[in-house]
Amino acid sequence: MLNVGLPLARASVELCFEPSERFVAEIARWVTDFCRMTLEDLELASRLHLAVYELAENLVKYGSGHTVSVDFEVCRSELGVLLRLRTKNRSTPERLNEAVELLTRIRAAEDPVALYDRMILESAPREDRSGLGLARIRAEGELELDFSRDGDELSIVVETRVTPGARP
Amino acid sequence: MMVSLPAVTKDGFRLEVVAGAGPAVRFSGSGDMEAVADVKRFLKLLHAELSTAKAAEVRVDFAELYFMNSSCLKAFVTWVHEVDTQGRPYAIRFLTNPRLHWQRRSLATLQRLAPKVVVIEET
Repeated sequence: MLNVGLPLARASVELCFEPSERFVAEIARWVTDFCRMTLEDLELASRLHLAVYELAENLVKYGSGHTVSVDFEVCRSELGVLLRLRTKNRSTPERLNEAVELLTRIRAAEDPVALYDRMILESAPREDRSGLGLARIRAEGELELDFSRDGDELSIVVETRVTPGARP
Repeated sequence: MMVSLPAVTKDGFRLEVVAGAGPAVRFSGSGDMEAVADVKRFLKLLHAELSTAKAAEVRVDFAELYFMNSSCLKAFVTWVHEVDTQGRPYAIRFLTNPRLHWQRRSLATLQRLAPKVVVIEET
């Protein structure tokens, strides 16, 4: 995860909900509005909207149990502003193994766009699940991605640092 | 030629043919999980019509498409790839809205997949 330095101010929102698709668009909108209010950067808000949408959809598609969560945090420090999205869900061992394999590839990619393009090309003739959503977060969203697994719980962290006066 | 496909309207999402000089379709609203099956079906039928008519180009209006999830994007990936690799290709001209930042990024992905097929034009 990115180093935030000494925090000067912090704002966060945590949403816990049942994994139902009717929540996805609303959650993406809430988080994007929160980001827009906090940072007033439409381009960044659009990239975060993409990320939270894909992550929330993943929670709904693959999460099991009664509750999944999305946590969004904005932290200001002398190093700039850190934006961090974290999702948590439980799932079956098979689903978790698949997710960990995919996330490991995406996290390790030195060129996320090249990996995404390869996955796009591989998936193009197929009708089944694409697995493109998580790769899209790094490639199109230009966001860092990390994850951890603890038993049957998967936690995915997506983040970026905004340096004042510079595009992240 | 004119495309003759029935419009699809779902909560917050619409697919329709646009009347005009050449084949054109419009996607508006938000392409989410509920829209995926309709997008796939619509693009398959559209491809069949355009191939039969030996169309040279189709315009795809995204000006009011506020967001598209990766599953809907995947339906476009499959369509673009099919046009690019099977039979007689035609151009797919996406009309985009520069205020909707995601469009530039997602359509650039489609253009890298098939640069001779995908044309991006800002409205």
